Amino acid sequence: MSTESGLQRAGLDAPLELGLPKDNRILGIWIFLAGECAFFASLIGGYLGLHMNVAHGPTGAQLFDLPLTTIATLILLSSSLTVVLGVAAMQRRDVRGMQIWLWLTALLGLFFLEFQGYEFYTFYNHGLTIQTSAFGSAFFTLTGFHGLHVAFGVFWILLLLFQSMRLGINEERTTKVFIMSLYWHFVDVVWVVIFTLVYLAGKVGS
Amino acid sequence: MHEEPFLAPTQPAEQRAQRTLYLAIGALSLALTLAAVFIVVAGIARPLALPLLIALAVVQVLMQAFLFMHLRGSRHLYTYFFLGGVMLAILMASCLMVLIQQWA
Amino acid sequence: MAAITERVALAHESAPAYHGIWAWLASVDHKKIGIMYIYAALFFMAFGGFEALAIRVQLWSPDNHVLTAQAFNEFFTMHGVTMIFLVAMPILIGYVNAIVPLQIGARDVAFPRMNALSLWLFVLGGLFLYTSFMMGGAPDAGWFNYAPLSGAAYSGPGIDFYDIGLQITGIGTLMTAVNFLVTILNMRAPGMRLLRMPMFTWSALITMLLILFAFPPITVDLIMQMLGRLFHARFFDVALGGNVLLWQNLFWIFGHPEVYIVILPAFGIVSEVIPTFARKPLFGYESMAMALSVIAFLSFMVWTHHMFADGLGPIVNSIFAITSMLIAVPTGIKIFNWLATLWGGQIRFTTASMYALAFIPLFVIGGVSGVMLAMAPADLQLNDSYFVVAHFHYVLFGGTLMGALAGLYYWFPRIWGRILDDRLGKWNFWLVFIGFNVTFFPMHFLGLDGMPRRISTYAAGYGWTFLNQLSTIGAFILLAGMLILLWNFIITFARKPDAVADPWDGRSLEWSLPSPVPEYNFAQLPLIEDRDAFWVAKQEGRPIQAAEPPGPIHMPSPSLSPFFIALTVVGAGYMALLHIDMGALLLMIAAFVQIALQLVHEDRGYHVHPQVPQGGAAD
Repeated sequence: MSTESGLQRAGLDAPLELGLPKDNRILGIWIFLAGECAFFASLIGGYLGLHMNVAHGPTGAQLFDLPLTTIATLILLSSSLTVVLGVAAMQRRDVRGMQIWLWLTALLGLFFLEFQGYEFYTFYNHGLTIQTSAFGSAFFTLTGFHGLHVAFGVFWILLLLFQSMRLGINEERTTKVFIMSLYWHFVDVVWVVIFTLVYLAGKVGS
Repeated sequence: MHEEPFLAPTQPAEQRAQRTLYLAIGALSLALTLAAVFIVVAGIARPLALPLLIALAVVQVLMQAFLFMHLRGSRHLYTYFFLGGVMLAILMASCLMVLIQQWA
Repeated sequence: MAAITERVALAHESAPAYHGIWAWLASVDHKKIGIMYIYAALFFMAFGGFEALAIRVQLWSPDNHVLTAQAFNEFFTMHGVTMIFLVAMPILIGYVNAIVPLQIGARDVAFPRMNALSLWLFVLGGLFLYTSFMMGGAPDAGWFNYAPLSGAAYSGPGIDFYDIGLQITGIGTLMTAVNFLVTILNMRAPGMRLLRMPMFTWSALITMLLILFAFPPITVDLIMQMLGRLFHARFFDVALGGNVLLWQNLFWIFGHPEVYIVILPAFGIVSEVIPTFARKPLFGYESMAMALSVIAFLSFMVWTHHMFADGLGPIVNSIFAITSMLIAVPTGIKIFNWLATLWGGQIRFTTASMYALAFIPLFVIGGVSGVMLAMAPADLQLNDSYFVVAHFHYVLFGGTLMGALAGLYYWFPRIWGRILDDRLGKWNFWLVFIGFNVTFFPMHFLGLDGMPRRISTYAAGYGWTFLNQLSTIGAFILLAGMLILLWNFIITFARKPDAVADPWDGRSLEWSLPSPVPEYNFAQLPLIEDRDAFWVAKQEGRPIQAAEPPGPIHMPSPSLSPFFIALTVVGAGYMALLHIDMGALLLMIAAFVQIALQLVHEDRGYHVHPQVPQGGAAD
């Protein structure tokens, strides 16, 4: 208990955050992710309430390309594996290994985004846009915001990679990589939910 | 008061075990996904298929959260926030879905 | 094994120099940020009050022509938006900023730069909202902005200001929630268990949880509407499958917790002021903490009581009527606990305590009218009438604002090192108390007499004129009271900071610090062994024990970056508003780049070497 107060001065010659409770940032990201649960819940709830309203446009069952989206899902799930292997390498102080796994994660994330982009483009050509119907609006908004989250995650990974290449890894930066990995896993988890409730449920019994 | 937030194995044997666990979870995730797709493709009827799909998704989510995100072995506070968020999310999404389909 | 580079930067030996206004713009100090929140809130309150007066003048007599119908709609919309988002929330968050770290024995919040960003997003977002008056008109569809009235087909550019402005301030608020949750959960002084925290900090903790879960739904709602207005998304467009109830549901899933967000900190303030001025510990501390938690939990279960008249059916209405009545129970527990605290106490009547005492009956009146509205059949008569206006003003003004004013007088010496003049304070109190009741009590009867809300005028012959005139007179009495507060500010700031450190013989940790509070708050973090540890120490005639030896303190550096990030985001907002899509996109990217730079920037901070006070803390 009393050593905690000593932490305040443990960081005399180190970046500020080392003097504060070590897991401020980790607690912070978990709290943020809890809020993100509410965010995606609102989008998903809206989608579930509206997805049957297709006006004169196409339905999900007609448009969803299950093989394509399954591959995208497998890609994103693999990226969760690569990021956790990267974190494990980091914890072993294997900086090179960490960097390789993080590069792979970013690459897989980009592939996922490509698949999403291709899917959006295909739907657009088959007559589904954000304006076509409530279903179209809900679908593109939900998957679009998820995609934005993935894109931000890729950007974040690249940022951390460049920082590790320039400055190496210290105790503070391991925390940052770990936090990014939590965010990344969460975005993957949200995709599992979206894949199930949007794509799979949309194609069931059709 | 606040220990190392994530338990990092230090012995090579433990590290190998951890890596094996990760690979197993990764493989399981892929398998569960393919199983879910199979349920759809095989044409299983909606009343049975939907609960199965949701169950598979729940397993995936819990696996990712407790193992990949290291909830197991971390401060309980993280778990409270995560599970609280998930439960609120389920409540919110369900209510929203029901209340909107209520009207016309 | 690859080498780990151990390049760590050394801390500066002194603070980077910012002077004058730049020191304020660059501050990451929670105390200064709290002050700026309070000033900004009071500034916006003048505007919200002006809007209210204009409304009351327009409603003085039937068929009045002071305001056009369009202007009236803009005024009542902005009055609501201002008072809730730009006054009530910021002033309470200001107190949380200024006081909570002191109450828990911390030196700052968990993420000081993000704290500053929250502030600037609020200030600049609020100003953004107000420029709407000069750029095509303010939002005019009510503070709850229902679709389809707020859709592109029925409204003007004001709604874009609403959507974008509230989004900007809302993101800031969410950041505040994450910040203070981590701060309160992680950074309490050694020995300060949760059940030893002051009640204001408890209320802050629960409020931040509410914000965390309530703000994302409104974020989504605003996104859906923005997409609808900008890109013709069909969320609320019935012709193409949209559902207007979606707006309402998401809004009230946010909106109901929101009103608890603005009342719980006021509860917390009352829970501090009453024990202090009754010289008794808070009665039923554990049940107070439990009540806060239960209220917060239930607040997510009641939102459809705002939608009883939407035709959702008897089952839905019954469920939410029951939950809405249930939430009165933990609230009642709190009221009885305050009364029990007063019972047998040595009550001192200062302005702060008078506001806290007045809070109790006024909030109860608001609560009772609320329970009346919770009965769905009654609500079908009362919905959209002035009865509802009376109800929410009793809880929001009689509750939140009275609590906020109590907090202002109570914590003024802690925040600004001076005490507001108590004679003028009592004039302020009585004029506000009387003015408030004269303004709003008649509205109960106007509602029961059938006067609808949000009408810009009314015909003669309904029998409403007299009560409206009474209400308008009350509003001007309120104005007089507030002008006295303004005068009090002026003369108080004309004096030097001359307050003693503990002017009220306080109970909680914030009063244990010298006046003015040093930038690092505590020279040595305290060791907490009791609830009301400062009071206990005073009773035992000793200082609070220190938890650490004296030594240099590592402080975060000030930074202009949060201000510039907020400026960039608001700039992007204007671009989106003006349909300059490329500009909006570029500025949003610029904002993200600035944020990313902050994330990778490793603040070296600087050292201060505190003077240990004389007769200073034991080791």
